[in-house]
Amino acid sequence: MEQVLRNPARRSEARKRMLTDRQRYWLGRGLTYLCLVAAVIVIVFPIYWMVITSLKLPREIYRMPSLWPRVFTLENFRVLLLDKDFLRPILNSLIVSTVVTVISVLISSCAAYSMVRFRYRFKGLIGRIILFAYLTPTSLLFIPLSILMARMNLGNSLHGLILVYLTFSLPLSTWLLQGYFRGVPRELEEQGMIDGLSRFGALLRIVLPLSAPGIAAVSIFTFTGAWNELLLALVLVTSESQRTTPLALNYLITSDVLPWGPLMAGAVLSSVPLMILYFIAQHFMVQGLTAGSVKG
Amino acid sequence: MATLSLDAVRKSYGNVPVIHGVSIDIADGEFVTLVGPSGCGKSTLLRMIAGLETISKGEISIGDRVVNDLAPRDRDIAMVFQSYALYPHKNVAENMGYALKLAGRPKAEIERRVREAAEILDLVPLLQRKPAHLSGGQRQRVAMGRAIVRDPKVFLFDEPLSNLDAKLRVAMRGEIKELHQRLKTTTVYVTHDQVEAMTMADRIVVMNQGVVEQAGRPLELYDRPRNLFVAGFLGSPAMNLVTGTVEGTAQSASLVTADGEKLPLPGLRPGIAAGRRLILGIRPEHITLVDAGGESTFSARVVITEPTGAETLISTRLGATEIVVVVRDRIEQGAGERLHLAFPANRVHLFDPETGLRIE
Repeated sequence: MEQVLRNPARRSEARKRMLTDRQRYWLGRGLTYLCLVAAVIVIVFPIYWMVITSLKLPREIYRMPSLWPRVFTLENFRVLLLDKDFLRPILNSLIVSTVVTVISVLISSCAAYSMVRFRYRFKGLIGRIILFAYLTPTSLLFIPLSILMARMNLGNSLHGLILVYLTFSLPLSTWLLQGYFRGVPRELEEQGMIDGLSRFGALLRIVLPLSAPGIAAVSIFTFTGAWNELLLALVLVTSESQRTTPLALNYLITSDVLPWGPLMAGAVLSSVPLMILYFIAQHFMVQGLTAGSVKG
Repeated sequence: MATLSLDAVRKSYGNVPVIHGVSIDIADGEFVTLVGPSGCGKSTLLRMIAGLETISKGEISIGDRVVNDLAPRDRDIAMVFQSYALYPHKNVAENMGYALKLAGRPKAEIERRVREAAEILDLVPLLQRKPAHLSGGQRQRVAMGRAIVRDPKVFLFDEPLSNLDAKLRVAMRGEIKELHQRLKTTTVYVTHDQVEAMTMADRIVVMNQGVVEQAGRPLELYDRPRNLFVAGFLGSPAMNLVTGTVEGTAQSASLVTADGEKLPLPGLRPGIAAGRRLILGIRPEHITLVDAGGESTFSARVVITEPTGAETLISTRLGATEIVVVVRDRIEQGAGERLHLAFPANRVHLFDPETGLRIE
């Protein structure tokens, strides 16, 4: 190094090299940001378009599409909430999605825990059947499920919808939670049991809190799945009072008329609960909760 | 504090037996180490005492109560795991006081007992920290603190020093021993490190493949190993073992190896006739260097010398057999040179090659 500093020719050469290093650094940063900005535009633009369309008057929507409305109006929301009673489907969706999520997390936690920690016969087979159930295409199950629901007098009801959604959410939740539970060191539970917990207590007070990111992920997944589901609801629910949000949005379309204003207003309203959920859950999804528990 | 007794304890996983009937009686306040190679069943045995593994057969009693069917929480034991197993979502004070909290003790009492334990272990400044913000040694001390806060009948340690670096391990070894002398709680300590076992225990239980090979005071086992396994396992560097056939008379007997090398057998016990096959054991530190060959000496070729400062480890070769010698002197001889060696008769261990048992 000293030699480089003493020799002027070498010094300028080194400076040149440093300059190119710096340029390369900024080029890299620039490219990174360029990609990120492109990704953000692709993701955010539809949301932006949805929001501004919901705030435009019909003439503005159908005439020249513009990025900024000339007149802002809440007329679309008024039509949706007062004329179309859109709060009912939102409430239905909230009930169905929340109940499915809660039951799903409860059952799949116990199932996943047993698969990870206990030794019993046919454990591997049960695990494979669970995965198999998840991989079965939904469209194959339309007819059997609707017949089953009708026979059980659960057709055209939120109860039936909850039961059907659970059959889809449970396998995936169980599968996902297994991975998270495996990540919780067995010794922590054993220490809990020595400290005075029962096995179930250890699951509740040690394993679940440490699997918070997993529970959050599974909850989001299940809630979003139930919230957005249209096809099964379309088959199983017929009466207006039992409609969920996607179904109600679908019924806003009459023959070939697409009322873009109310449709987009409905889309905005039905996005709000999901956005709130994602905002809350991302706090729990911070990884590395078990850092420092074992070894180091 | 309590006695701990294991009576013909067995464990099998399906049809695979892993513990073959272990019986140990541990006195009140005694410090016992279970030592053995990996997979010998020592940790399984400890986990059975803790209640983390079921007992297939036999009985385990703490005090005068059989605990076979009791849950871990009802056995009044505390355990320190190799991985420390600190709750990552609780700080040091909460970790240490958790058992008391679950037992429904008043808050003031929990605080007082946590503080007392923290003072013993120098943990007071760390009480509010999370485990992730502690060093390995500090985590180890928290795990120990958590155990002593409970004032249990028995302490169980499962290789608690394995994850520490060599220097810290020696320091913690001393701390645990000092802690035991202070608290006098019955302790079972599992380790694969025979130095740890030797230095810490009142009594050592050497295990191998699910059976107890020998149990006794550390130096008793070191000086009179019951069989080849114990002889080879305790001591570092390990005891030299040479197989051969007895030749000559009782006054000037020698052991001749398969490749014709001769080892002197001074003061051969009566009843061992010429022609008998034997395994001779001699610890490296009991072999001495002598200036010139004689009747009761043998010579071996130097392979490598390893000076550690305080002593020198010399690996030599006697025919095909490796003989390790530890001497306090610094030696000049290099590889390939011959050394004249001798050992006193009273330091010789003899074993039967068929049964592996010690010959008295």
